Amino acid sequence: MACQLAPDSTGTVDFITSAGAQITVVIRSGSATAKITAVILNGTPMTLAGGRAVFTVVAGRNNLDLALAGSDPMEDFEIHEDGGGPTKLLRKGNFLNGPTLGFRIHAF
Amino acid sequence: MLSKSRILPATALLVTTISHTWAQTSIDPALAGFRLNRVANPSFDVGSIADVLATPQAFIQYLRLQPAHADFTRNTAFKATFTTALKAVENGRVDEQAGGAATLGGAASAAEKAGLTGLVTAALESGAMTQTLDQNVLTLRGNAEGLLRFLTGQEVLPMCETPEATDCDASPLNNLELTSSFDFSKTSTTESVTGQVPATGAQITALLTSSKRQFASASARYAIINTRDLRSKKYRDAWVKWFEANKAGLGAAGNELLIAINDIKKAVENTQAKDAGGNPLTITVTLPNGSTAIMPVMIYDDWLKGTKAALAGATRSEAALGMILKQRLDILEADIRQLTPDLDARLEVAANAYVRYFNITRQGFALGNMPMLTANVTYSQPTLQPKQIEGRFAFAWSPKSQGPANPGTLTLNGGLSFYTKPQPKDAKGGTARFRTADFAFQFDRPMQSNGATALTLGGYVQYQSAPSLILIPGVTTAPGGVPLPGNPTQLLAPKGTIAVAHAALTLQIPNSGIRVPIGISWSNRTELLTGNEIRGHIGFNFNSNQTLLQK
Repeated sequence: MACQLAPDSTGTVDFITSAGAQITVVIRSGSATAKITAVILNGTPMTLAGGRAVFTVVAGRNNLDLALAGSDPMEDFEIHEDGGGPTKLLRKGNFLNGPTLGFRIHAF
Repeated sequence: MLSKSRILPATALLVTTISHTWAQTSIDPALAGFRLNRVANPSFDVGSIADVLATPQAFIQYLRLQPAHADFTRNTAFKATFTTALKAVENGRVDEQAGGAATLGGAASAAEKAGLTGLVTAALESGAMTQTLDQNVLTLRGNAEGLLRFLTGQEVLPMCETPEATDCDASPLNNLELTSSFDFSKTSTTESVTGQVPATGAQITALLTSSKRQFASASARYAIINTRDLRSKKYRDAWVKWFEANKAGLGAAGNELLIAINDIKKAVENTQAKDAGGNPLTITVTLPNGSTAIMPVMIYDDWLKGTKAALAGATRSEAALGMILKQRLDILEADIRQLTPDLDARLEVAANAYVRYFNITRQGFALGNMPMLTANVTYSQPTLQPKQIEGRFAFAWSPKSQGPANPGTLTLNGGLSFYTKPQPKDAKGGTARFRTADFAFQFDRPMQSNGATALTLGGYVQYQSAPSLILIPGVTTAPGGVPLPGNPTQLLAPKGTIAVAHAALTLQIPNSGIRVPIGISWSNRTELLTGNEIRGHIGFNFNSNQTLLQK
C-alpha cells in the first residue's frame, strides 16, 4: 500500500486524497523521543496504534490534529505518512511552535 | 604590588553593535509567540509563519492579548508556562563550552564547562585570566561524530521513528570533542617582569612581548557521563521509561487540548468562503490521476493564501513582517469572532488545556538536567613558557527545575598540569615535571527577565608547586632598551597561588548561534607577576548547531 496523501498543487489545503483512504501518520526526530500523544480527526478523538495515528478519511474536508511530546523543547521533528514502503515527509516542525500540529486534507 | 585596571577597547564597539541589534527587534509583544526574529536566518521560510492554525499556540496567545479579550480573566499560568518554554529554547544549554580554558591568554570563563558541541563551535576571546600577557584567542571545537557525518554527507542528526531503531544511535565518537586554540592577536602586548635566573640565581628584569598569530593549544575531551545528549541511549531509555509511565495521562491531556483548539478553529476551517459577489468560493484541483475536481475554499484556506502572499511581498525584516502579520491576524480574529460568538470562553478553555498538557510534559524536560562528567587532555604552548600537558575533569549539575527552562548549571573543574620535559624549579639545580594543580567552579544561569541573557559567576584557584618558568628570547631587552646578554634564557617567576573571581553576562542573538560573553575578573596575581589584576573579557562565540540543524 503506497502513501496516499498528495500535496495540493493549488496550495488551498495541505493534502488531497481519495475518500475512504486509510492513512497512517508517524513522527520522527533525531532523538527518537518525539511522540504522538493524541490525535483527533474532525474533532473526534482517534485511537493511537503503537504510537501511530491511523485513520480513514471521509469525502470532503478532513481536519487532522496531532498532540506531540518530546524530551527537548528545541528539537526538530518530522511528520511522515507510512504507506508500508518508503515513508513520505508531510511536514517538518519544531516543539518551539507548540505541542500540536494540524493538517487540512480534502478527500474526493 | 601592582594594581591595574584594563577594559578592552573592542568591548565598547561590540556592546554598541549588539544593543543596536536588540533595539531593532521591538514589535507588538502579542506577536512574541511567532518568533519573528527567525527572519534573521536567511534560510527561514517566511511563509511558514502564516499557517497559524496548524501550530495554533502563538495565535491563541495573540488572541488572548487582544483588547477584545480584556474582560476575561486571563489564565496567567498559561502565559507563564508558554513563556518559560520559549525561554528554555532561547536560552539554549548553558553547559556547553565554547571558548578556551581559563589558562589561555584569552578566556571568557573561569571553569571549562562539561558539555560538548554537536558539530562545530568557534570562539574568539580576549582578556587573560591567569596568564600575564593578554591575547586574542580563537578556539575551534568539533564533535568527532558530527564532523564525520557532516564531511561524509550524512545527516548530522539522523531521524529515527522508534526508540528501538538503531540507525540513529550515536557512536562513541559522539562523546569525543577535538579542540584547537590559536593566538589571533594582531598586535603584541608587553609586560615587565622580574625573576631569578636558575643557572646563576641572579635577579633580572625583562620586558616580555607576547607572540602574534601562533598555535596556543590542542585538546581532546571525552564525555564520560553524557546523559544530556539527546542521542545517547541512556537518555532515550530514560525518556521512553518516563513516556510509557505517563502515556495515559498525556493522551487524555492531549485529546483535551486538541478538542479545545478545534473548538476555536473549526468554524473558519469548515465554513466555505464567499467571493465579492457573495458566491461560495471554489477552486479546480488536479488530482493525482490527472483528472480535475472542484474543491470548496474555506474561510481559513482563503485567509492563509492571502497571508502567505502578503508576507512574501513584505520587506524581510522583523518589524515589516510583524506589521503585516498583525493586520492579517486581525482579519482572521474578526472572521472567527463572527462565527464563534463565545470565542473568549473557548480561549480560556484552551489556555487551561495547554497548562494541563505542559504540566505533564515538563516532567520529561527535567530528564535533560542530569549530571555530566567530561575528561579533558590539553597540550599547550603558552607564550614565553615551556610546553605543557594538562589533564582536567569537568562536572556539571543542574538543580531541579519547576519548568522546562534550564534553571542553571553548576560546573566544577579539577586539573593537573605538567611540563612535557623536566624544567628548572629553583636556582639549586632542581628540576620537575609537575607544574600546577587547579580547581574551578562556575554557575551559569539564564536570566528570567530576558531569555537571551545568561549570568555567570565563577572562581579559579591554581596551586603552583614551583615558580613559573619564563622563556626569554635572545632579542628581549631590559627596560630602557638595553639588550639582555646571551642566547635565549630561562627565568623563574615569583611562586604563588593564583586566585581568580569572575563574573560575566552572555548575550545571545536569537536563532543565530551567536553568543557574546562580556565579563570582568579579579585575580590576586598572574602566572608571571605578583599583584592584583582586574581585567575585562569579551568573547564572540558561534555554534553551528542552530544554523545548520534547526529547521
